[in-house]
Amino acid sequence: MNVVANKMGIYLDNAATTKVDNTILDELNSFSQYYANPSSQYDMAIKARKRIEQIRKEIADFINAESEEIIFTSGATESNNFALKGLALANPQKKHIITSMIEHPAIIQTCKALEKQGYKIDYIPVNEDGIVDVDKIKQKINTDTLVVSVMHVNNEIGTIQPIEHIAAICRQKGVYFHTDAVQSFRKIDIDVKEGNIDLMSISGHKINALKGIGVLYIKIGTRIKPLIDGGEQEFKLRSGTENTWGIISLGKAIKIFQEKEKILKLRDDLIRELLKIKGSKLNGSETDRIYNNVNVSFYGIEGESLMLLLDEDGIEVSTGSACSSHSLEESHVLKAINVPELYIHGSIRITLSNDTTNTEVNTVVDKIKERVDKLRQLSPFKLEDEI
Amino acid sequence: MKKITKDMTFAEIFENNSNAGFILMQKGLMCGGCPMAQMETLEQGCIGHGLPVDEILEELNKPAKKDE
Repeated sequence: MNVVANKMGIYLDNAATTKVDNTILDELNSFSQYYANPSSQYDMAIKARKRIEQIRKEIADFINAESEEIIFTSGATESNNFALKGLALANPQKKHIITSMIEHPAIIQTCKALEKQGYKIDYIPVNEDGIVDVDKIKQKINTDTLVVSVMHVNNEIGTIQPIEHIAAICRQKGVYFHTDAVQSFRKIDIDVKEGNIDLMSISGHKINALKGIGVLYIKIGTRIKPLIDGGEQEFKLRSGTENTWGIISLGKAIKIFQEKEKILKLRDDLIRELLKIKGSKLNGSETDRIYNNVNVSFYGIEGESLMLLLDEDGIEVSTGSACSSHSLEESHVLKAINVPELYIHGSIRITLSNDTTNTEVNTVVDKIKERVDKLRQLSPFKLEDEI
Repeated sequence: MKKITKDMTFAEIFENNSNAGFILMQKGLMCGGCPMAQMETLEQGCIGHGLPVDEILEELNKPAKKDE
């Protein structure tokens, strides 16, 4: 059964969200008669509860955590809010937070909200590859520091951060370490114990599960308070009736095999071919990059126009530039890695999946070449000025 | 160089002022790389993005004054 019918089926925006896997839909169908509230006491409810607890254990094992360290949430935005604000509530004596300049808005905006409440936030810069300056983090940690939050993989440029290095520093200095692992979970093996991770945010819909389900891993012993009060579900840390279907979908999603080698090869082919276009540039690291991410800029054109033209061709990608929205803000990530202005507006992000084929990659390359040419004919920014 | 007016399309403005793309970009308008520039006027673009059209118009006409 197909949940989403798209025009031509070349969906390359898998960092934004993913297609719900068919095996997950089958699993949900087979469990649909267990719709009882898992907190109730009769047989149907007990079956739902057992299933939830079994999945909690499987997710815990997947990252080498304990079951009671897995807290189900509505998604990564809630997990990120919960991590930082929950720590702040439980540890009011500490008023300093360290994060990076290229975090997802779910962290940046949470930090801004805490800033308004009197917290001092240090946004650590990154180098041109998008790797955070670890020495600077080390320098900034002081006795007032509550938590360091650095994402594992960046959602726009796919840069993999040295989180184990940062986490080790935090552990040594007695500061909590949180990571937003939305873009890395199931792509990169994570061992929270070995990696000294205290808190970690996970999202379901980025890995073929349903939207509206996420996890915050919280290491046992972490001083944290809930943001949502109510029926005291999730070890009294996150009230609200459990999202049984979401949890089942997540449990199934972690078992879906990822064809990493295949995707990596297609990604590298795509990067190589796109960089043959004159006035093009790869944003982010060539090496420390998640295997399904491509982010390229084309000189003198507007990324959103390119994205819309590709949509006409049935190809779905995303862009860091949003000229049609009221806000004319450039991507804070591309700005942080110093992408020149005439490239920053012409960026697109292409994120591959198990479903991506060689034929699709070839089609995308041809269409992008054609559309970039067309847009450049209209642009007053001439390539000769750049080259 | 022809005087730029707010009812000109972005494409007409680019034809008349070779520096216009860069001036608009500094204001956050990447209209130079957008196909809408063929149809949309400066005024429409500025209203759409909540930018002060008269201020931008003055800026666009500055090089013309220098040339005279």
